[in-house]
Amino acid sequence: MEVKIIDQRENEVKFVFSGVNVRFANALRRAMIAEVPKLAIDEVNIHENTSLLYDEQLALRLALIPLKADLGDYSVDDRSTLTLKAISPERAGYTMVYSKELISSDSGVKAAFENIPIVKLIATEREIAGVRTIARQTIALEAIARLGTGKEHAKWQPVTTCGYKIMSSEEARSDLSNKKSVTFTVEGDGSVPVDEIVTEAARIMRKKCESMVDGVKSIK
Amino acid sequence: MGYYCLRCKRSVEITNEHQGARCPYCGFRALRKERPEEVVKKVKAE
Amino acid sequence: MQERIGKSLIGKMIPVRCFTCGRVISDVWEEYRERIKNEDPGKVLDDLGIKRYCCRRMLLTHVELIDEIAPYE
Repeated sequence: MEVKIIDQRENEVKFVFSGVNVRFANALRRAMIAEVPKLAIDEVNIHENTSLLYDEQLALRLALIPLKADLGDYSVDDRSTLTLKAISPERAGYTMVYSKELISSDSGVKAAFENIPIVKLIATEREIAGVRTIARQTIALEAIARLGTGKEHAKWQPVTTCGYKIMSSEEARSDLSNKKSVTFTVEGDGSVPVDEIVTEAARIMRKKCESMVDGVKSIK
Repeated sequence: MGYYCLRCKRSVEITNEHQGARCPYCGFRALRKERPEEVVKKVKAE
Repeated sequence: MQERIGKSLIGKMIPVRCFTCGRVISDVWEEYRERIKNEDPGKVLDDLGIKRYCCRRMLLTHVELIDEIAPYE
């Protein structure tokens, strides 16, 4: 088994895996998609929401924001709280609320992208019987982030595109042992570094195999 | 729903038997409805 | 009519991620909207690093409705 990195960028890696079984490559792909844990917002406590988005829409938008965190500090049941408070301006106009405005209780947790627009808060001016009034919109909420995996919900999936291509070289075809070369393309969503996704997936696969071996032994 | 006196902050029960509600403890006339605490809505983000 | 648009499932704001692959695309929306005023949208998308056609259609076909429905809510 041999690994050769062809191209590595900030959020993307391309590598050739030679001398492997295609089934093994597929197992690795599936582990990367569905088994590697990451942090994502799971529950939102809404104190106030007079924006144009419904509470559920707001919660979903928050859930889809990739969160950067030091995953070594987190275990399955750990939670991290992020708060968000915003109000539209005092005069007619609007304020756009961005992902960077999420304040985390844990300094290690932050949004991977700063400029994701969450909601637009609009202030409208009206004149009723000669009196000018201004209607302002506000949001105040508390988002609870939890560690999860892609098999539960796509918001916990650390990769976007993650796939492999079987290389059809002369050398590969003449090999009768069913071993082939595959080219992997893995693109992360920004929350977990790509190299970490690949190694963590491999580690998870090893753990599963070991537990299977233990299971078989106990039958004997 | 109960009321509370704005001066002495004690809770007051109001009956509609006679007009001109006032606080039985201090006699103050401004009474306010006791509102529940801020309601927090819990939403599952998915 | 306007109100019905607001209450329907048509997105009021740019979706956070691409519907198909899950790449975050909303962070470049504002830059994209400004730049297409005097640049070719395809070239802007290339420049912003949106390479797959699933992600490109998210920005290309989005209609921001939040301002349209604001007076009716």
